[in-house]
Amino acid sequence: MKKEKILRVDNLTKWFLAKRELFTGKSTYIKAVNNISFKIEKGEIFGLVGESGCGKTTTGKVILRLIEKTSGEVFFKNQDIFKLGKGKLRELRRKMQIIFQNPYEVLEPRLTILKLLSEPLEFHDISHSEKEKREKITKILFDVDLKPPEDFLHKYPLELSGGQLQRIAIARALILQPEFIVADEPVSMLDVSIRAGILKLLLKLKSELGLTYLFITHDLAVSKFVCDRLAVMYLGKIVEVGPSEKVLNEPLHPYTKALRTVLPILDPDRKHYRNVSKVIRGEIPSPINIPPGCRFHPRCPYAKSICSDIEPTFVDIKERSVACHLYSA
Amino acid sequence: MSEIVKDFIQRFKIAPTSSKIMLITGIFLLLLIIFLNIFNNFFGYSPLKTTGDLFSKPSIEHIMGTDQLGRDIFSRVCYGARSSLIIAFISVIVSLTLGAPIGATSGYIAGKLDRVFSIIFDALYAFPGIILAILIAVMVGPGVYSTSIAISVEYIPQYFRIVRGLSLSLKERPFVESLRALGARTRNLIFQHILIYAIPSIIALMMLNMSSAILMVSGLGFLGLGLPPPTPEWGTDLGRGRDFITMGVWWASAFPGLMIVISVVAFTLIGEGLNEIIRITTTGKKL
Amino acid sequence: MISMIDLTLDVKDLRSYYFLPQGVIKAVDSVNFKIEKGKTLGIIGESGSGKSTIAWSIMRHLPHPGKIVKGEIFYKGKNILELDMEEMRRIRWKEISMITQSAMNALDPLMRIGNQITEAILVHEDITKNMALKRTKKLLEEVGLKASRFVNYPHELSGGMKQRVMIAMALACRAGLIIADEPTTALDVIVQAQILKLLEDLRESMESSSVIFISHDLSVIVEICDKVLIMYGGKMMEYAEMQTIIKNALHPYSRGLVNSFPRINEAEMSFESIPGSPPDMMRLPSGCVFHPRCENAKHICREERPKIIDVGNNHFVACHLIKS
Repeated sequence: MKKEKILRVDNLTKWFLAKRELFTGKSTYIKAVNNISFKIEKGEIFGLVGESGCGKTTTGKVILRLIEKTSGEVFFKNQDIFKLGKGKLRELRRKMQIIFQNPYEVLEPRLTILKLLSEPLEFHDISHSEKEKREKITKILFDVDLKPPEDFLHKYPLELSGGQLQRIAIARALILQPEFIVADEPVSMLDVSIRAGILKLLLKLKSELGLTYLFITHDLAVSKFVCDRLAVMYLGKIVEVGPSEKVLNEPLHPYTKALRTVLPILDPDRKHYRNVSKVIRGEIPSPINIPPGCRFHPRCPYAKSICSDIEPTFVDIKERSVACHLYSA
Repeated sequence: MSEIVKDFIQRFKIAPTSSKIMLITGIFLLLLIIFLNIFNNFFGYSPLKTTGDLFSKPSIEHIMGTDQLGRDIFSRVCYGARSSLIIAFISVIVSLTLGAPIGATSGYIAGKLDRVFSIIFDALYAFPGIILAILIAVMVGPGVYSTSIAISVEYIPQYFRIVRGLSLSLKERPFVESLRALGARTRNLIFQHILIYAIPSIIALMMLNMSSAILMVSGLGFLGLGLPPPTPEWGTDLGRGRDFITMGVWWASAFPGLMIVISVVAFTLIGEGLNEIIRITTTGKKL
Repeated sequence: MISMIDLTLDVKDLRSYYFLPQGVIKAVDSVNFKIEKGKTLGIIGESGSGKSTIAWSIMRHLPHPGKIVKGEIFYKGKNILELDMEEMRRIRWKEISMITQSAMNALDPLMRIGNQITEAILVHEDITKNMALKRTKKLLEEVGLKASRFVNYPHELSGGMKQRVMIAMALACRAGLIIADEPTTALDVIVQAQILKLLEDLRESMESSSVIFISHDLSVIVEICDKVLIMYGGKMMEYAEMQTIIKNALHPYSRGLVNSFPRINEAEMSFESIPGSPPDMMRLPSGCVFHPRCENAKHICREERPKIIDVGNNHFVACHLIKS
């Protein structure tokens, strides 16, 4: 039985203008996202994993059309989101939402929690009566485990902790009853001891409300805990896709292998960093000057001569795909 | 709104004494002027009543003396406050009503629209205010509203600039991005979530513009382009009084002039005091 | 009995508070620890734990309005809190150096990095400029940078490279104590691993130096440090050898921290959080500062601050529920 594809990304590219020469007119671009494609099934948690600068956050924002694309297509339930007019786009926002990384900066400090949660309803003219609004808000606070809800309604963001703020941010995204959520590093700015709680909340909400997530993170361990499938990104390209267990336990792409090797475990006898130079060299190049051929080749311990000439295309290996010459026929 | 007031009170508490003194002195002077005006309404002479007592020196009966038509200068001066303050106020309101929303919109939407508006307002900003005011006053003729409009044109670019700058910096902030993601309409964003943060700066600018506007009103009056006689107005009276100085009659010019100075100083103190207090960060250091 | 010289650092009852107009923040409220020559101490804690304040207190560089209100810090037998500013300046960088989270605090953006290292050497050692230059180039190579990087300005270097420069500066003066305050937190995982490997490789050339390694990341602390000090709300929770913390942590917070770490190797992936959130430093809970989040909290935990108990084997815990 074919599962419904709620999101389809085709050859998406996003470049940012870094500068334009005054006299020659030559432009330099930050090539944040380069020709990526993937599909997300309804009800799954799809992870986008990579280090900073790999383009994962930009991808998330373009998918929601918070930033315009450079080229490519994004289909939400078979609708091309870049062809929508203003009104239809606003309607779309009710179905596709985002949770940002920094809960401290996303909520205006001068507004009460009640007001912050009423705003989304007001933007879309949902629930005109104060009573109805309040009911909805109380329910959503309950859903994100801020109990009793009444205690929070009249508080200001400055009175709440990071974890509570993130729950409010989640509530704000959910109050419109969306179907699809982009979670952009939702726990990286939170204290370690409260991360698991927020992640478990996200999982609980997913099953209770029938959501689909695009989960963006740099933390491999978190992605294994949360995601069903994941895509590993490097310098704006997807290098490997597949079920998260498989990708993390049996990585195919050398970059995924490197990420896996340096993944810390709490075992003082197995120093996770010890083998780093065996699996990867150097540092990430700037997205302005992307290496030719396979963009990972300058750092790859397995690089062959073909790697610096030709960009590898995807090869399917069972339920996985990897873009690496090691696996090309 | 109440959060903005609360925020201001907090900043006031940790502000340096100099800022507090400025603000309070300015407010005091302003209240003094207003009080004198009300006082005169009830207890003083009518500013239009002519007596036969021409050019009388300041005395107990006429604390500021009388003018060329025997009118009590003190009551003219008090009444003149009304003219100056009202005209200045109207002009400032007109300026901010035009400048602030356009600035906020221009900064948020950016692009070609922003470039066009910026050029227009930069040009206006560069134009010397008093000449602009004179030109417009000559074109539209005398009167409270026409004078107000003549003066207001000079200040519009200032509100545009300040609010545009704020808009440009705020639109990149995470909370604005979050509102966009939630589906906020652009006009909601601009007016309820960006413009609102400009209010403290706008108020401070309003006070400074008031002091400048009072000078402008007086200037136009002095040149005979202000309100028509016999309406009491500081600049007009000062101008007329000039003719009599050689006769030894100093009080007809001096007192209107003094009132101009006091009111300008009052608003400048309020404006600068507010500015300093607004720029206080929560650790008490000035930005 | 460890001789005074082999004890690089001995901190006794250190208390550093911030005096704000709104109130007093007891950022560090009585900590005690010792570091022997050549050993590494890890200080772990979340926001408000006071770990960075300990570092600045040792450097006597507390940001305003912070003050060290009590305690003694013995560096190689000498109480550095009693030194005057001139003597302290001599000690800073020569004897005690610091690597911070962001190079912004340590590197001058207008000076070439090679010159900065050379200058640091010359200020503290009586050698010729040529010798200092040579030493700088050697140091750059030791930290994995090409000697040609000498002429670069900080903004021309990546985050990882800047951290290497900071390590070079700390090594330049052969300091007796190096304090690393979240040196890898802002770095990506791979660069972080590379820097940690570098630090390990340098242990040999650094063998006379002791290190304080501050982080919120337990995995990093565990792999680098000999001993661990766990801080919460400005107070010591537990202090023990690193193996002890992993296998036999006694304090509920320590155990909670260990459990907050996602265990990717196990078939059943699990990780837990500690209910509640780190405390508001302006409104600390009464008694044991951790009690609101502790599932074992008893009445006494709300009333009295627990004393530090010695449970033997160099293991100290501050908890009412532990018997010595």
